Amino acid sequence: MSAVSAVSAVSAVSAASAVSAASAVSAVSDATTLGSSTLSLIAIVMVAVATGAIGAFGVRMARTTSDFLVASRTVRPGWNAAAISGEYLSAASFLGVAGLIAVQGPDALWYPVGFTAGYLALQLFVAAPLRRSGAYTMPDFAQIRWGSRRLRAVCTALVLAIAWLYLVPQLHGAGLVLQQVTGLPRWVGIVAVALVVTANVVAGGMRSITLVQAFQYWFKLMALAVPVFVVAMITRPGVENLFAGQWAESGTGLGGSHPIAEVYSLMLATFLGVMGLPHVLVRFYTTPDGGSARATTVRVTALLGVFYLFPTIAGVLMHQLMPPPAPGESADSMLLQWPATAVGGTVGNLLAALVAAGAIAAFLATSSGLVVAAAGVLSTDVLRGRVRDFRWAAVVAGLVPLAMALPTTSLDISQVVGMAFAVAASTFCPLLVLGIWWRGLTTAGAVAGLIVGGGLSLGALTVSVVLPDALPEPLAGLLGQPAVGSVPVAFATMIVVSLLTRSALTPRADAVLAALHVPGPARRAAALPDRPHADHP
Amino acid sequence: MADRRPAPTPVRRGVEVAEQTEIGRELVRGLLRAQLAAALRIAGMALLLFAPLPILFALPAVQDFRILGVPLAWWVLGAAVYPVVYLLARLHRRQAERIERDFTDLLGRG
Repeated sequence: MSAVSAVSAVSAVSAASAVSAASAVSAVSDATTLGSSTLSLIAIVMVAVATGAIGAFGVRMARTTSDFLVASRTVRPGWNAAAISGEYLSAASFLGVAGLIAVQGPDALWYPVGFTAGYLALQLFVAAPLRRSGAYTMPDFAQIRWGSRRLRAVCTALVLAIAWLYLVPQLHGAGLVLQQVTGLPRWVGIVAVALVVTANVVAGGMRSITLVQAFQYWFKLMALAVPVFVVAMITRPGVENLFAGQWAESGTGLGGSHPIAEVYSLMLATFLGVMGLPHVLVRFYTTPDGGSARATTVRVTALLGVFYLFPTIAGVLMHQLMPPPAPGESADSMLLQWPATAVGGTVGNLLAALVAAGAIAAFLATSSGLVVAAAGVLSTDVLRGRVRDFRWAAVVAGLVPLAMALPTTSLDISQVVGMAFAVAASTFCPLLVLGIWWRGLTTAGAVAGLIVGGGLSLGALTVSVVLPDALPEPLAGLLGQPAVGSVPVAFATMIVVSLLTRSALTPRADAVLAALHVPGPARRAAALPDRPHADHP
Repeated sequence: MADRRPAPTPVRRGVEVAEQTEIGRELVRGLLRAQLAAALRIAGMALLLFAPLPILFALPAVQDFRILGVPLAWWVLGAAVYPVVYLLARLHRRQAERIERDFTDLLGRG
């Protein structure tokens, strides 16, 4: 019980730890699953405590609004790259990817490949200019580039939509993990993770989040690498047996009836969606300058590449050692059951505890980043941008998705995360790419493109979730993976409407593009201001 | 060779950029075009490398090809793509920084 008493020492997570402690007690009284459950619960509580402790440590440094939002722009590329990766590797990467590979075979490898390659697209077209814009949030960027309150409001709404769409499956996943481990109802885990995350963001803001998330990258890597090594050493599977049968062949698709088309739509959504994710964007405002934003993305591609080797190997081993999930059941829980099934005994229980703790770390990290991003736009756009406003905004940003997650039935984690990618690729990707590289993108073009892209992707996904069986097959497949249609339409809308309204262009566009692209040393030589003028209160 | 005397032009170029004169705007457009060309080159390389893969791996001849008992698709998508993405990112960083250095030199050598 020492873990439980340590919990009460950390005030930042006291509300949530009460829930965790209560579930620990009930698990101990449940004699049938004692060994595995208790170990897993202790590991989960320790992750929550470490998150709170590192968060509390960072509180002393957080003083101003700027500290809270972007860590005063002092985070170095090494730390920032680990923090970005730690924040980014969500439940979808930790549990979802391994499960999908175990069930669907090599076509599912495109998920982690796309999740990584998205950072290449982000670096090529967005990272350095976006950092030089000096914006805190996506709506800030819109305001700086176009000076339009209308466009700013559309961006605020889309940031909240994407952040909450991404948060709901994280909370569902947390509920699933705690249900697997303790047998408690799913809402307990959902409430516990929502409260830990909200309390931590309210207490420390971004400064502590950077430390927490850098720590969580290395922890998640270990929580997956150690079980993979140990299980491979103990079971010693022959390579020939691992890649047998139709499962090991490409071209079988991602569960629908048009395998190759699905893969291409997934590639489009993930390659282009990363740059539009609000919790990824907000991290680039914390680097010192445009060059270090680029240096950060280079390191992120390396860190993600190392990490994704392990869900891939785990997926292959899981396919051989475990029965496939029953029809209608998601593959997300396979990784949690895998160590106990594969090796069993105390070693299996210890490894299962490690995987459960890693999964909880994944939920905490991604959810924290999303709550910071949503709270950032809420506090500056809806409230007045003071530290106290940020704290209230964080409470709202954390509790709205909790309210959304509790009544909804659980969908596949990777499916919903893929939807968030598709919406981001259909809205903020064209806005950023065209806005940064083309002076001719007008306010009207940007607003029209965001509304068309956001409306198409969100509408298609809503229809495919609400009426999954009512549609004929080619249409149902397109609605479930809308990126292949909605991304080109959003780009085309922005370009066509901009060309029709080109008389509205002002010299302002040239001045802002100069500020986005002229590097720091040249900017001093040219006596340009360090940041473009943001004309909002 | 003929550059004995300090050229007055670089200092003026900085002012042209700052004051958004026609020359200054043209300088920035040149920088923007160079950076966009570099980004599109790398994106094109990534497209050429990745886009054919789903079709390639679905070919029966490719599906039977194994190295050390592991099918080619698993080697490529499970391992080889990650160093390629990293190297493309590094290559872009180098090119983008060289373009920025050239631009800075052009503006403010004096």
